[in-house]
Amino acid sequence: MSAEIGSGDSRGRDPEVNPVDNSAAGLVAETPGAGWYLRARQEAGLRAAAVGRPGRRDEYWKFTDPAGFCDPGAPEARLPEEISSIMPAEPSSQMAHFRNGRLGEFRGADADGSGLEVMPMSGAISDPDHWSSEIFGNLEAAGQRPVGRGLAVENTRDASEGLFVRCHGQAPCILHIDCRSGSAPAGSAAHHVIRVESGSDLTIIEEGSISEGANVVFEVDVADGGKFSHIRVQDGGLQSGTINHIFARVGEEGEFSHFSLTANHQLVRNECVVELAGRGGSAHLAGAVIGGAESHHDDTVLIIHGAEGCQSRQVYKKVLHGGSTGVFQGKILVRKGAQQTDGYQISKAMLIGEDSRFLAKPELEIYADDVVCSHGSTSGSADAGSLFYLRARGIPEPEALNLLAMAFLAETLQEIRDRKSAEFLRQRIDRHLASQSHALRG
Amino acid sequence: MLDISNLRVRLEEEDKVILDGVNLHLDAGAVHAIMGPNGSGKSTLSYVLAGRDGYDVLDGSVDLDGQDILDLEPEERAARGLFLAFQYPVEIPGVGNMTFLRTALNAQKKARGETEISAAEFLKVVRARAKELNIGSDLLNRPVNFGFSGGEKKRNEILHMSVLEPRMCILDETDSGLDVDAMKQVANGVNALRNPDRAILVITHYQRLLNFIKPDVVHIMVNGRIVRSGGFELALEVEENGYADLQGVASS
Repeated sequence: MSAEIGSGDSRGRDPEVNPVDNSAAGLVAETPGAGWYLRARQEAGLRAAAVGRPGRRDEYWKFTDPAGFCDPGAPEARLPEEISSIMPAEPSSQMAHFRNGRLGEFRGADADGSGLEVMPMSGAISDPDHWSSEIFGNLEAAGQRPVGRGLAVENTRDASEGLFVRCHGQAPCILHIDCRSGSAPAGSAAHHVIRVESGSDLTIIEEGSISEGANVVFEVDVADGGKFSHIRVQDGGLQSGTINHIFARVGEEGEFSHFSLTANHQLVRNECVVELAGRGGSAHLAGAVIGGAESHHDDTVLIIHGAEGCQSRQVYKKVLHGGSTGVFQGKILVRKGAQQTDGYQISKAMLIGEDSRFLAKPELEIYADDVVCSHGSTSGSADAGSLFYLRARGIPEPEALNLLAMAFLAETLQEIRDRKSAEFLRQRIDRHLASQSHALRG
Repeated sequence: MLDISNLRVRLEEEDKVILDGVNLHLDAGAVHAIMGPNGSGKSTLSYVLAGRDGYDVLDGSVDLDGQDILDLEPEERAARGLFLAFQYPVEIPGVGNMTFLRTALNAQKKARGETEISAAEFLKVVRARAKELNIGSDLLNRPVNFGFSGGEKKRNEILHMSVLEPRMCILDETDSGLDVDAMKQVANGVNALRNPDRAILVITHYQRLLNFIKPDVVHIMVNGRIVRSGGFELALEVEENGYADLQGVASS
């Protein structure tokens, strides 16, 4: 993969709103938008050319074939109607609906004075002074080192949908991004930009998928003392490869947390790049995966400890059966000077039957000397003693395996701060396992 | 109710015979105890009866209510009324004790062709049984055995037994790891479940549990065979003299 990547650091603001010649970057010449946005996309075009599309021979794609991720513009596909929503809308929450790959109606910017501003991309990018100009494309560009992420760059270059969200209130805010039905061209892209101001607390619940073969990027900037939680539920039974990226930068005493539930999709890769840039920040990432029917689910995480006294946790667990593959690539990078780092990473797989596999690559790269970091990875079948205990109480083997799988995945739910969401996800996992129990055999 | 005849069993992975011709007969309503030194085959007997993998039955039969159960899966044996209270109950984090117990009860009912119990009715039954056994609601609401003390785990086993209402109960070293007060509580729970339709087999190292659960018959197992049977006084004799005297009986 190419090393030279356009940085975007030199970008300034330009109040002009006019089209520029983007042909060199492969863009449509008449793209509307403010100068900062057009430049960001132009840089993304150059970056995309430098980074290139990932190939099978890239070390970073050793376990997952990048060819499975869709090119934009593939034929339209009907999205399945997904089961009930993760939680009912609360008075304090806002909803944004994606239907047919496009953002539908939602309540306007800071309509209720809660301190949560939500704007569609089209509005944000035509504002010459929009706050997002300092973030859009920049966090993604920073996340191209040390490893290029070509599909994310393509997203920055091409996405025409997305939410630009700024939370500046004092009360906790919830934004629910609901993409649970409709039909959309396969390979649709969405690019979300999030800014959580100092002392604010934002939770984003993202459910469903904007299309078959979607390409979704979040850029998340958590200011000093800000709190951001993201819960992603992707279990709608899609057939084409879904690629997700989160690029986050966390300020002093800031908190970042992310949880993903992946089930029932054929091919998914979730990448998270989190930089703990200020003293005392934290990043907690967790994921529960239920694989089956030859599915392939990949979680790839990079946590960068860039400041002193930061804490990070990665807890990923996968229940794999039916010839499915689970991938976990997790890295903790501790930069020089990031003393008193506390980093933890665990990935585990429960293999049911003999035809599934778990491929894990845990990594530590440490350039500071006062650091506690640990990582572990295990895989194995369901515990024979536990299985016998359940069966001896009268529970048939498939149901018993179900319960053990639930018990196995439950550890990831403990990473979720909001107990109500955790309970909902537990029920959701339970339902997936129950629906597959006929296929479970030890 | 339970008829074990000339049961010979070896470990699947080793060429080692653990049970070497066990004969045992329990009538409904009876309480029998099996005592024996470490390695005599007591726990293996309980596992083989409950259907655990890893054992080869070389010879003999086990009949429950006149039907051989050795070819049945563990859950099928449970549905026919066999219950094993484990020496080491398994912790299942993430699965609520109530959920687990209701799943087990309804699975058994389904296997027997009975109507499944509703959540509300189940709750009523469990609460009543828990109260009888002096089990607090916190134990019901926590994940199965997760973080339970030794005493809580054993009391939970008795709660499961009480709710599932098996006809043939096997208690494998239920006294291990318990202090006297906890043992009394467990024994009271077991005694409350004694009735003319139910047989109970208590497996233990020590006589002291039998002070609280008075057996009708005591068997001594040594080297995979029952070498002596008698009344409660046999347990007292073992307590007095140990098993050393009986090793000779086994090898003779």
